[in-house]
Amino acid sequence: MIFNSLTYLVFLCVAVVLYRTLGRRMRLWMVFLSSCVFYGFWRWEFLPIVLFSTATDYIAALQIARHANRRPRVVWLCTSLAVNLGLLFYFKYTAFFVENVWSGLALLGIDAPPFILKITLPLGISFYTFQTISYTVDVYRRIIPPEKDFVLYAGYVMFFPQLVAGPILRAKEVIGQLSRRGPFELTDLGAGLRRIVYGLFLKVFLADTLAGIVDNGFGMPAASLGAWDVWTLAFLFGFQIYFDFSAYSHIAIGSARLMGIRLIENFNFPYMACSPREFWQRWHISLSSWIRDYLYLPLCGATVEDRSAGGLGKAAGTAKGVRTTYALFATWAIMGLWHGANWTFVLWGLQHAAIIVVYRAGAPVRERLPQVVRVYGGWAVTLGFAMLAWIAFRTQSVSDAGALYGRLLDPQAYLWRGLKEQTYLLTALMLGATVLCAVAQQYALPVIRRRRFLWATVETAGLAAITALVIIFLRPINQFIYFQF
Amino acid sequence: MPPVAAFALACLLIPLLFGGKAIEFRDAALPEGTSSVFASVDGIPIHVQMLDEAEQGIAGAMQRIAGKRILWLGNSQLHAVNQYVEGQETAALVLHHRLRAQDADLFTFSYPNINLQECYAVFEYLRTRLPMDVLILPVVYDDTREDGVGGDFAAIFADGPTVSHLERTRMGRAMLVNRVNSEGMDAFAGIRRTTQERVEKHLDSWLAHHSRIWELRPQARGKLFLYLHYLRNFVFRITAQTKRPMIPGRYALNMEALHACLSVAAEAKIKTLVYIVPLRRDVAIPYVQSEYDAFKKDIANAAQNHGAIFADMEDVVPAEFWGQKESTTGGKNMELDFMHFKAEGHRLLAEQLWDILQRENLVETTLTQ
Repeated sequence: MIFNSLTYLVFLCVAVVLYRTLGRRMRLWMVFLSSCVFYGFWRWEFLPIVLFSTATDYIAALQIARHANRRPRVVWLCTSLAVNLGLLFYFKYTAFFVENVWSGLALLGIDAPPFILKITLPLGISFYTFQTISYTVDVYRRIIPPEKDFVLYAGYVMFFPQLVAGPILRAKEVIGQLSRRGPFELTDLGAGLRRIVYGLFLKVFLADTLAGIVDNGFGMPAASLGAWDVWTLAFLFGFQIYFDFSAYSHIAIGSARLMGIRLIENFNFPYMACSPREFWQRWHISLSSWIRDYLYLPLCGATVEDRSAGGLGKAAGTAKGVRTTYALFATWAIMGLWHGANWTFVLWGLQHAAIIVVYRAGAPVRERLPQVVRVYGGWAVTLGFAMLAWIAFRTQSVSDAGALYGRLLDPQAYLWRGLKEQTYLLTALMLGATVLCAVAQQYALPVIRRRRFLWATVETAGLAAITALVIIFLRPINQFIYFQF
Repeated sequence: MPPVAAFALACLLIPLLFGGKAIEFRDAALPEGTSSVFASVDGIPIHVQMLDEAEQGIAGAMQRIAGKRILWLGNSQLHAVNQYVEGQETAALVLHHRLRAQDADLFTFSYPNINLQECYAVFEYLRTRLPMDVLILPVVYDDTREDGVGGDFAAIFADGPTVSHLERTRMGRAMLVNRVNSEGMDAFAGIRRTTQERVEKHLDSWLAHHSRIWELRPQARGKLFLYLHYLRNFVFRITAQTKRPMIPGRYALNMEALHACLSVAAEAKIKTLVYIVPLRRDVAIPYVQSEYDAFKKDIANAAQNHGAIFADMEDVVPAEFWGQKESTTGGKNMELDFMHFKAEGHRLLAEQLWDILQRENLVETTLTQ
């Protein structure tokens, strides 16, 4: 089921009312079953895969906790990882793997017969796989005890607001909240509704409107685009994916909040980051925190954290040495591949790793710069880089990405253009609005909030405008971009 | 509570802002003062705007005995009449009558702001259905600023014979790669082939029947973008007379499409008449003169390279037959219309084309069914 639909709004109303009225046992069953229905509304035939993955980790975690010796614990942990990663590999990477093996054979002069493989990617498999892995690993690390109640545990893994595109949650952050329902509070209702309306606005009005322009621009041959067009398209796609993905997180967080459950924040104005490190403390925070705790820090040999917040940057700073650089590149290559089975995603990840290395190496020079240059210069460079990296993420092949990057290096291409004037205008507006929102959030809103009547008026007017736009534009015309991951 | 109050306010705002006079967005490029006129003969359309309507028109055309079959493929200039008075005829109808008298047949397809890539795709689609001897292709400078194939032409990419035609040219293959751009016009595209699709369609249709606000949504979406368009024009002082610079990247793609179209037509033994469309000359043109001159030269060269007939019809319609359209900023003042003209202009255009068709022996008759 996708959020930007009437079906979801009706479904959510029913789920919230039931959640608020049923007794504990029935409520947990309701969360589990409603999550099955939510998932099944996309494709029922893929529901057994989610259930199988969930059940595997439930059993593995119980077995790990039951044994004190390292060996059986490792065996059960490996079983869980093999099942989860095996499913992920089969559904997501088999075709990519085969294609690359075939290309490799062709390079060696071996003419292999054509191999056509069509595997449908189960919705959200990358997200729920990471969530179940984190649960089993946390039990193995003795950070949390295993959950004995399967329905409660399955409710955590399959909790419908975040099932298909995160935030990727840690068991200890959610299981307790699901187990003990907090009292009904009007503030939860208000906050939840605000987040849902705001998320729908970002998705149905902004992201979906940008989608057509971005698709059209990236559909043009690279040779017909000028260098400024490439910059413009990179920024536009950067805004599209930000609005699209943060919209999903807003709606997920808002939906959970209606039930009194607080999920962690997944975005915090990432395009206001003043360094690559800060960017990853603000963008897809739950994924970068996951990568930090279950991949990067173990690869570095550093102490792991245990929270789905904080992002990659800060913790990454605790590990030092050459090993961290290797770990960084390996982590980012895997992070890229997690997004999709294509070398373009690896390229995107490696670009981020490279800029982090450059940023670290430039620290002595940076420290000598005046504060204002460090902050604003850092912001401009980080923003420009993050946007350009999206080109690799959006294009269909590395050669397409190379062709677009090539335009940026061609001085002649700065005198050529292939987009309409309004596309540049729209990009400038988006950038301006994003900066304005971040500044308003930090400086203006706290002042206005102190004046209750003024705040109520401003908020109601603003919400009315975006609610009207949501009503007008609410259509399941596009899936969320991250559904394909 | 603000979210509830905001919802109530939003429900009041939508009918208030968007509930007025409905706009026919099919004629989005044709504002007040300009009317769309699609001619029919004996109840059968001889001039259409959409691919689905074309089927009926082509079926009718195939029933008429004709020595030569001609397709006229262009933008809204062919169906828009300024300051239209009931009973007036478009160029398409005038030329159709002329041709029928010579046992030839004319079928016209025109779509607002159709670019040359779309023209090429539509030509490939129509020629699989309508055997034709002549293609009349007006080329409009403005439309070379457009790019890609719009969603209204999505059916082209679902049509096997057309796809195999398109695969034969580089431009056609590029269109097929990007055909995804032409999908997604369906409001339910995000849930296609899922269980949710049925439920969503049911809920949507139920609401559309029971809620005035829900029913208003398509109008509201269109009007909102129109208001934003007016706002942009107002802020940047854009009027009908503002110079539109060439967009080199798009121009190059459209020229490639033109070459593909002319080459395919020549290969299929379809004689092509390419003409530069009439342009209002009583005031400064809204183009950069040097760019416009280069454009005309490029079209003439393309026609020559592919053995097509070229005609510069820029001066065919005199100043008095051009009309006015509503303000580009949504104001009350009317502005000069550079694209569409009055019925008299249509008649002159048809006569001029008729002369060329005769002069080039494109309507000599050998009756066939």
